[in-house]
Amino acid sequence: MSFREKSAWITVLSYLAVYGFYFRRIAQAAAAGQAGTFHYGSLLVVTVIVLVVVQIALLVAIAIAGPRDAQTPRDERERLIELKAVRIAFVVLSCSVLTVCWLAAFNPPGFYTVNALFFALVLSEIVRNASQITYYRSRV
Amino acid sequence: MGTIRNEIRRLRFEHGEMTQQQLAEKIGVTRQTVNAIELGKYSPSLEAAFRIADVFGRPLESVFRYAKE
Repeated sequence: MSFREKSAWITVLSYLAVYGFYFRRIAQAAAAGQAGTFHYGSLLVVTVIVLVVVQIALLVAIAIAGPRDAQTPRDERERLIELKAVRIAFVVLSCSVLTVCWLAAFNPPGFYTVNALFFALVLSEIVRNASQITYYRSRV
Repeated sequence: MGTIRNEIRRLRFEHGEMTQQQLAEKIGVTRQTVNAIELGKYSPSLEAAFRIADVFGRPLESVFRYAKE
């Protein structure tokens, strides 16, 4: 497995774990009727910090385990995989954002709109990295 | 629609049992890309294909061939 494929796996798994916790907490707050009072801003900041620390730690670990692979620049196949994955992720992001815009027309509290937009961003990033993993393992 | 087949694995072994990593370093791609090319999972660019042929000292069409399906 190349360094870039390992990086993609780290991103997917860390996003699912860390943001999974965040959105589960958001869903709990919404279910409890706390949409107007829940301080999701501070939770979001902490979540992002935790994610960055986790990702940096894991990326450094795999870079130390395979320094030559980590230092090798992207080759033509990796650049092609990245471009194809970005195209797929863009479609997901576009559709998600349009959906949120449509729902925003019904004037929901900002809690829902902000978190829905953030979910769209997280989802597209997961899709981008998952697409890369799929292309690494199959024909590109 | 056809596929591009290649003789890279055989040529590697004929050239002093060259490893995929060694070939990758000579042509400027990763070992995983060389593996993908050999398995037919990736068709290299024209430039990369020429570099591979040059490593083995063979004309391009003796390393890669287009197979109609």
